[in-house]
Amino acid sequence: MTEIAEVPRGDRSVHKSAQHLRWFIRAFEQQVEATARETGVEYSVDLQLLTDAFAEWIKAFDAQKPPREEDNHAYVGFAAGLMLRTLVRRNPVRVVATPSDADTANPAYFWPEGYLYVAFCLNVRGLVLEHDFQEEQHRRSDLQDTRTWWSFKENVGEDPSRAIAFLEYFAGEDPDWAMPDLFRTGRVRQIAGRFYTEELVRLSD
Amino acid sequence: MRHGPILPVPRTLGMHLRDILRGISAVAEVTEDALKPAAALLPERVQSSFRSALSAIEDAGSRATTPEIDLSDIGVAAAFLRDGPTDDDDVRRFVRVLAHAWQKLKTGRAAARPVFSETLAAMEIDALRMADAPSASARAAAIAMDLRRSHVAGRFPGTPFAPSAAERTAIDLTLFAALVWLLADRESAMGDEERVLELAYALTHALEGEVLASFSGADALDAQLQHLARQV
Repeated sequence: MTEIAEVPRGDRSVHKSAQHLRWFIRAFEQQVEATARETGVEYSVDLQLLTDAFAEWIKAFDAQKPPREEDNHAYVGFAAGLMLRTLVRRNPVRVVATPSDADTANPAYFWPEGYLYVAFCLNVRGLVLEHDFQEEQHRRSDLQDTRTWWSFKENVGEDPSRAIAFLEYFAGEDPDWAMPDLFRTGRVRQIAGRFYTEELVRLSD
Repeated sequence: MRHGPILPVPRTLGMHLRDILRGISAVAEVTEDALKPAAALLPERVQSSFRSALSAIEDAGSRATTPEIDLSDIGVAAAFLRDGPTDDDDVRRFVRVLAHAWQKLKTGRAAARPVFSETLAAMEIDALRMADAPSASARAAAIAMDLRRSHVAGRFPGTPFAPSAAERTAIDLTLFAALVWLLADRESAMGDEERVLELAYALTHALEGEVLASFSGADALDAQLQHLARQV
């Protein structure tokens, strides 16, 4: 997946910059350009829909923002998932053209808009972790598996909130499939795990 | 045969002349709409000349009524909101920037957006006690409340105007977006400033319900302007 290189303005951290519309739009446009260059897919972006997505994301972000600083790190992945959910729901991108020889078994051609949204959210997530928390993101090695993308597209079509769990999965984390749209701090997650373990096992079978 | 511009427009005009041209341009728009059914009865060649003449007037009006501004004008306008008036020319330059934003946001949008009068806006803002405002956003809120109460935006500049609901919404959103832009962080290139203005409008539009509700009072408007300026 193509990287983006949008860097923060001045001495602002990436996670603070990402909460500004102009940074968000520039970074997204960079992602569109990079992905188009890599895949040959031509996209068009509706600026108003993209701004609508940003506004909705910021509201969702603020609504569950943890009060304790030690939870900020855990919130990075969740916030990126919220971003993916909003992009999937608002769908600000249209595919104008795809290469004539495109292999639709490849996720980039199977669902070009979804592929672009996932690439963007994973890249922003990775940038925040790297710049603000000095941590590397480890994506799943089977990120290109069409079956996973087929399941992803079908699931988020039924309930866009599942995008939050899928992004965690793509990022190599252990997702919360039961209640993906509810942020739980590390401590609460451990307690909740006692109740949800059985259900999670059933889901992953 | 290709003709040059029918109405050559000087690069800069005084604010009164720009207001007059805005009026002429608005008349051309209204005339074209009003005469559309009758124009269909005319021979095609006459119809075409008629459309060209009106469109030339509209184009010339649009070019002439968008005051040219640069980064220093934007800086002065932003400082005017932050610190209040420090120079006799501050109000004129602030209104010039506001008029520029208004015209830019008007261009290319189908929705009704009334004509903005620089002359009246300058008179209104001059009359406000701008030095007393506690913050930039409070000053911006006071200006917005005052300008929407007066007839600075109308069908023809300066004439009494009872806006439709759509026109009232357009006035409020445009005014709000222009002020959000001036309250936000500055860019170092003119193209980037124009882009931030577009984004300020898009964000205002995305949060239309909350923005319109905030016009209920100066405090609510102040808070909402501050909130969006931080997000842009």
